[in-house]
Amino acid sequence: MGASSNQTMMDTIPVLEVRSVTKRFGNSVVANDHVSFTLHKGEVHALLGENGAGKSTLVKIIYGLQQPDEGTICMDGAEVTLKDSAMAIEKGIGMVHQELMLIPYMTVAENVTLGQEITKNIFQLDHKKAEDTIKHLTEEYGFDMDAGSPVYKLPIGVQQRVEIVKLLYRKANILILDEPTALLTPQESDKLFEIIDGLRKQGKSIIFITHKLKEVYQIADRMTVMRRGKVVATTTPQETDQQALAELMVGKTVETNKRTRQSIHQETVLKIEHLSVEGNRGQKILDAIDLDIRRGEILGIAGIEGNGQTQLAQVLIGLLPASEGTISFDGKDIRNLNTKKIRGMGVGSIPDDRQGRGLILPFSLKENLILNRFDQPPFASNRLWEDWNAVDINANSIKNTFDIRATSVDVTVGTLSGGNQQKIVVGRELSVPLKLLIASQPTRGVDFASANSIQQAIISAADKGTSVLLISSDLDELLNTADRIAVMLRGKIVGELQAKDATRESLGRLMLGVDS
Amino acid sequence: MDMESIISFLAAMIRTATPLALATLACTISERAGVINIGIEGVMIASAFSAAMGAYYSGDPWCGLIAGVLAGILLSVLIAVLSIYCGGDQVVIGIGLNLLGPGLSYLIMYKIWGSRGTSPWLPGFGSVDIPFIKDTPVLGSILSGHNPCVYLCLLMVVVMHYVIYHTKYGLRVRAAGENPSVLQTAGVNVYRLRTSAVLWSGAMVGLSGVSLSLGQLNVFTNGMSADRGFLAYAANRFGQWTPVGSYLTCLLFGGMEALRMRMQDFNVAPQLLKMLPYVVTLFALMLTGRRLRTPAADGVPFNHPITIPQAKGKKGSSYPQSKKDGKENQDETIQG
Repeated sequence: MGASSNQTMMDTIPVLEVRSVTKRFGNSVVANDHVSFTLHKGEVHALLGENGAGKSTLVKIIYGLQQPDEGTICMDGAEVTLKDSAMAIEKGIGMVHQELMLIPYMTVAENVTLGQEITKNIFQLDHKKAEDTIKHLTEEYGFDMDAGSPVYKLPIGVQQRVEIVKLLYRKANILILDEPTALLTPQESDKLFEIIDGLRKQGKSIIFITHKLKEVYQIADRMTVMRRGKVVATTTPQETDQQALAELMVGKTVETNKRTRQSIHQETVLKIEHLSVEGNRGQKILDAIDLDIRRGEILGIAGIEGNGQTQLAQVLIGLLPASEGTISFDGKDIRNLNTKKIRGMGVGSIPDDRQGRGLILPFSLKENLILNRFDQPPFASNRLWEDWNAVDINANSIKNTFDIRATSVDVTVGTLSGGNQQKIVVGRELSVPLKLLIASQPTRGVDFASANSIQQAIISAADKGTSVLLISSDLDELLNTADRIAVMLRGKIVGELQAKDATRESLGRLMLGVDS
Repeated sequence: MDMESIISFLAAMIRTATPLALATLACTISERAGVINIGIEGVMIASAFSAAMGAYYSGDPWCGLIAGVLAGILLSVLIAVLSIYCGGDQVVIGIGLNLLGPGLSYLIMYKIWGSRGTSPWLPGFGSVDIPFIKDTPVLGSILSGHNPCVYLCLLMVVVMHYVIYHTKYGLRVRAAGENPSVLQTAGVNVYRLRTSAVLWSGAMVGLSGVSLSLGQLNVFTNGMSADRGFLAYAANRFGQWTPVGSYLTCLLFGGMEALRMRMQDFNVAPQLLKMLPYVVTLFALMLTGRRLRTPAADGVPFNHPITIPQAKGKKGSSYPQSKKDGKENQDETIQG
């Protein structure tokens, strides 16, 4: 049992034991290489690792979605074969997926009971009994929800609780939570941890997948770290501190971003006054926004997703028309100019929807790297032909600078991992000298090391005089990277703080509109 | 208009609405499960022809009905295999069926009856009275005295409404149309579920074909479905993917058709009148189009295991797609 042999043995038989499981995809990729993992009753076990470390594969094997090539799975000491998720559910294993698996237009009760419906006879649904059952279930675990309400009307944190209720309804004893806090505000995360704690006390076992180190110390009893398909350590929060844990995850010392910022210049590069955008029903998506950014400054925008941040980025780059206000960039009004003109003035953009707006997935790496200036020299020295030599040189140099891991510059971008895809977008935008960079969620869904290098790249661009508008839902990123942080709520700027004075709590309160 | 002509107008409305309504219900059930059936037109013709053959050779319209429904189901097996199991493009498959259905029917008709346009006269259903309702003053003359397909259609509206909203099966069908991955993780076989819905849909199209050749005219002619299969597609949308809504929409279209027949007595160009139902459809769709909410996974093939439909143009149903972003395939993709 290799990796788990040095852990503190408990007397009880583990509820779940993965023994030396190997899973290969194709000939060359080993997603799980002799992975062993144990889970005890009443334990919260964090599963850590960068993207592509093999966490998802392991969890899919445990949940029966994929079959191991080698190795066995034991439950309560007996070997089991999990052919599909239906079997896993039957054995008491449940999973909350990263993207919520709910049907928005159905009620909580319908969502929870789907697949194991409560019926009057074999055929007929019993809506009332279903709602009562869920009410009892949620009360038992100390949280409540309206079982008759359609899911889309509930806030995201409550929707996630619906997912947990789904598992409890199926009598799951092992709960797999795949990055459950990715979509939550700090306050909602705290509430989630309370619920997890309650579940633990009821004797449930929880596998908690994350790459936020802080959360591990908040909730986990033990943790298993994976890297490149292997388990590198199984340890406890008491034995390992954050720095050591980060080292285990990435395999080398990661320097936390320390700002060595040169002084910010006095001149204002971007001045937004009273900017408003209306939705198609006349509602204000952006409501009288006032912002300004000085040269070399990083202005962070915090806020729960969906409060107008995406639209702010789009209106600045000319993708969305503004209904009111002015945007003056470098002294010129750029409001409602087209994107090409705005980009031509030295504005770069890292869009939040990188697969939809940032990249052309079926195109190669080198083609994606010239999307912002394929029609300009040196790539298009005459009007007819692209200079593919120059394209290659450009691609290789960006690939090296940003450590994009691909076998060559001709690889289709769609086959690369999310972290590498994001590095391509960042690398491309920063490959030209910029006066202003609009970066939306530049490190979302990106592994720790890549996120770090992306943040470094943004900081060093700022040091060279680029002004940055950094929109992020990762508060740590904003606190570590930005100079000033403005908070958006329902299309308005509700507060602005110097990064050095801001804390997660103060930002969280502003994000939720709680009066302090 | 006097009372009598209003009554006969309403009766005609229900009668003319029936083939369309059956086809629309077929659309409703398959799209609710997430499969767009654009081949209804072709299947309808093939069913009408099979029904005609069945009735002609057995001399019994009920045998014709069985033959028609079977033809509908058989052709739907084709849709099920190609679109659900092979993940084929549902529009292309539908177009294929629209070419196959009539082509096959006309070929066989020419071979057995030697006719290129019309079948011999068929033993049709004729009209059947409903025992008690027949004697009710006004209602009796409107609802009673139709061919059995009309009653079957009304029955199916009720049955389908009940099944979709009040049974276990219906809940799963709705889930399959909204997000099949959810159903999959709940341990339900999405393929089988969608197949069952498509076969049911095929049976309904079959009935619709039967009502064309044996319900009204007692003869099969080329192109007798008169694009009802496409109109059904629109009527289903107009009816918001609900059985009752679909039926009411079809009554509206049927009313237009009945009105057209009545107005032939007046001196109006028949071409203009013939346009009427379609113009109404266009306007109706224009007016309601913005408020439509399609089942989120309508027309999206499902691939095991856990593949989130990567469809574009899903911005309308922003949740949960919008949160996925790049996270989906990171852990599976090959790191070079």
